[in-house]
Amino acid sequence: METMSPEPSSNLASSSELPMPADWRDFIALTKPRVMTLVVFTGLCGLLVAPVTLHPVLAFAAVLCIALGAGAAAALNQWYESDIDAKMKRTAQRPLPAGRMDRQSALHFGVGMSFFSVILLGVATNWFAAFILAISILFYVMIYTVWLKRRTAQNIVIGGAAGAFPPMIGWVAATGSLDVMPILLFALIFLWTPPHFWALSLYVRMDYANAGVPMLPVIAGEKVTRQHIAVYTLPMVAVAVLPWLLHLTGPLYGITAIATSLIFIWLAWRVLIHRPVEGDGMKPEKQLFFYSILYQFILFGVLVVDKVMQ
Amino acid sequence: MNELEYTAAVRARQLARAKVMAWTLGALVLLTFGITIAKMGG
Repeated sequence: METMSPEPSSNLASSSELPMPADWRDFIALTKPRVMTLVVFTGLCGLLVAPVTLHPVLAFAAVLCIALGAGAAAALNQWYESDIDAKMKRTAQRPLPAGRMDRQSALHFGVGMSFFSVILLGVATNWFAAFILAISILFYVMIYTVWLKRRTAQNIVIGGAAGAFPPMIGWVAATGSLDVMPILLFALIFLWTPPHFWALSLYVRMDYANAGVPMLPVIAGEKVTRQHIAVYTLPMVAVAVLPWLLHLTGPLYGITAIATSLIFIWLAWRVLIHRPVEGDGMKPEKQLFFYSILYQFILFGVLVVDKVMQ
Repeated sequence: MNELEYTAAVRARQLARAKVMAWTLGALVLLTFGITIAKMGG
């Protein structure tokens, strides 16, 4: 007969082996809050530059829905990519690869929040805006995450469209229709995404290579990526200035767009001519990556200020 | 970690999640009221 232990409970496995419900903070982490900041900001700016003023409560609901939709797409992205996230230093501590959350919870959270954000946006503003939000979530999850990311080095070029929808959603939430301005704002983010992500991928290239993600520097090499950054920067700058040239904005936006774009071109040029040596820290690439985020904040922020001044 | 400690840890985490959920739902109810009033032209 087996001898009973005086403290049978103490024989339980260590806490790391026992299933624990995920902490609520891990659900927040699942929504990629830092990425969401820019998404919410551009969505809010799209709403504010629209020619129709939305009731503050409805405007708040619209921005909340854009945030929830972006968070839902991020959760579904992490649900699908937990295997490659585990292989990359930059993403290994996310809730799923770190084992702090089970995959089913992330899936339910993402799907539930997707439906909720789309329906709430439709009820609060209009169903055209809700439709574009649904398309943006589906585009990020199905086209970028599932289809393109693991298959082609052009993943970020086409996938960039997913992040370009928020200002368009903001505008449509206010007006109920599309116009030249929201299409230009869409094009601006769409063309901005490749130089932004390729600058990042240059200094985390080994991470992507280890995870088997065919980012451009992994497939075509650093030199080609630097050339691609320069080539994509030029049409992006043209689109950044276009709202002013088309008289859709005032001179404040025009001057700011030209000045900030010249800095962008200068940083892209430095990346183009940079020949990294061991241990130089890839400074030009990091500078371009962080400046590109600032560039978006400045352009969209000034767009709103310019509208208010008019 | 023994069984009692484990149960307490799970309960604490569930309680924290329940509190966050309750606040979120409360805020959403208020938002729904706000949307309804705004749409009525308030």
